[in-house]
Amino acid sequence: MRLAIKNLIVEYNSTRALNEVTFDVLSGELTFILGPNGAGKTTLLKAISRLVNIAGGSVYIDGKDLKNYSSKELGRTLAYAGPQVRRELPSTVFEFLLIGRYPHQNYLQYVETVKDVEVVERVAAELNIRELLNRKLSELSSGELQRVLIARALVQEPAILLLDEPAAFLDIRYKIEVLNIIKDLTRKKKLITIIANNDLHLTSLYADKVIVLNSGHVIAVGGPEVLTKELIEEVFKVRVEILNYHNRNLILPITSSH
Amino acid sequence: MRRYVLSITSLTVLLIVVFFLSISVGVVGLGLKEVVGYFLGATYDPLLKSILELRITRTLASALTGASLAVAGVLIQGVTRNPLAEPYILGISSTALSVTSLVLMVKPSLINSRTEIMLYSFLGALLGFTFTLMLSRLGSSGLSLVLAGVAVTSISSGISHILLYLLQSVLRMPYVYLLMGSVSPVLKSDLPILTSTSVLCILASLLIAKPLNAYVYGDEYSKQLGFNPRLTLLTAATIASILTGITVGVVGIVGFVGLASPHICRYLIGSDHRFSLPTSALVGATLVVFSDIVVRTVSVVVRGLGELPLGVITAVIGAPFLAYLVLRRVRE
Repeated sequence: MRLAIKNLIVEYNSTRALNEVTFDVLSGELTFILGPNGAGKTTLLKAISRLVNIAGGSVYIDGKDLKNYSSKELGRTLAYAGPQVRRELPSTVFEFLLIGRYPHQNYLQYVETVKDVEVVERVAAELNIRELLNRKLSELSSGELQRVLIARALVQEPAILLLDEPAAFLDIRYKIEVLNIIKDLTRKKKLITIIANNDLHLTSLYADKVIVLNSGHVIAVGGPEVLTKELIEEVFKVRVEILNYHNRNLILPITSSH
Repeated sequence: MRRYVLSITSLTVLLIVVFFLSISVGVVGLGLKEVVGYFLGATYDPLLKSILELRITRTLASALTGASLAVAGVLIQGVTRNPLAEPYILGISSTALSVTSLVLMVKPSLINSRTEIMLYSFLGALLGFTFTLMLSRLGSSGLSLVLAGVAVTSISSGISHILLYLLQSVLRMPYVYLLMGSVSPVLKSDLPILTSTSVLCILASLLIAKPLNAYVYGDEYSKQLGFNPRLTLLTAATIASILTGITVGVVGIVGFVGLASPHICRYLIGSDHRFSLPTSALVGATLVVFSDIVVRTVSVVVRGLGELPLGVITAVIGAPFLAYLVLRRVRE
């Protein structure tokens, strides 16, 4: 499967949030979108998920324009997990995860199939949140909530998985654990996974492909080797060192006094 | 799922019990034998028959009012994503009543057309909902919606007080019964329109249960799962306004049923709308039938003072939920 983004333009009140963004992603690849705050990372993921309007350009999934997908078909193909969820009304984690099955159900189908419940339980086991299933969504810590939000997207069983800052609130153990799970799933199920974040170190640890975004423009696309010291220092305005460890370039931000 | 079946079954049994209890309670106390005898067609005493018919009408009206308001409450809480929302608290009921009384002021002959009154009442409800939502846009917390509702309620109940006071000669009953609700003026001829509208709306609400489930987590979830959040909001708000409108048009303002029922229901079976909508209808029906039993029992005990308004009893039962929820929210 190939996700192709061609000359994508998104405008908010006539200012350009994304400017002629073009790149391709293949299934089985873990792609990271890297960029400072306000670079357009979230906008890009939302434009691909059709959650914001596109002012120009197109998104193709295996050559089929995203515009031609029905909203339900899109729900079976693609899932976006943002950092937010409204949780003013009490509901349990299990109830929240079950809504992820809706695109796979008939509109009038009133009761979940055995498979629907199995998927929820399998994903919950994978993400180590089984003990949270009966908890109230509003009572979760930010780390627990983050894993639940990722789980909700996985319950949709999408071919394209878009994750917005999936590790921001996780402690180091869960960061590694969750990203390992996502990496395994991407390989095993041949998913197209795109992760937006601004963690240089984490990106250098996991990315198969990197897209560097700055003020709505694509600065670089390619393997992790495109992340050169000069490029990062230019885009992020910090000093970094690049260390080679087991044939992987690890990026470490350093303070200027060293 | 087992919990749901269990809750629905026990609530149905409970509703049937209060239903029969409600038919037997009154100035003339009736035993189970007379009540069952009527349903089996074995009653020939015309006086007994007419008493029973009056009571059955009244009890059915109470049950329908309760079910309608409870479902309206669940829908309104869903679309406002606010556990404190309810037709009465948000000013929807009072606006419905003031629009109805305004129309009656202009055209008093309408009092004889229940259908038209219900229609105007529905338009008033829709107007009230829109007002409150617009007013609450100024603030973002859950409490700002409630405060906006308080403002709208105060304005419109002030207006309806004045109008209904002036209209007393047309209404041919003390206006307090419309302001605080009463099922005693409901006629047998009102039942078909009340029943059909309320049952249709409750069935229609079941069709948007899934979109509503997705909607409560945010517009983005709604869109991602293949629904249209704006359409969900409009449909739910319209159904809730019709349900509120018909009850206000027929029995007046009965508050807090739409608040208490969804919360009791959440405690019983959780918050999935597919199950909470029908369960809540049963809880609401039981609550209002029970409240009307209290109304009649009090009037039997305190003879000669007339009946208490129904809305007073539902407020006594339901308002503590509001107090509890507000307290919990303020503490957070």
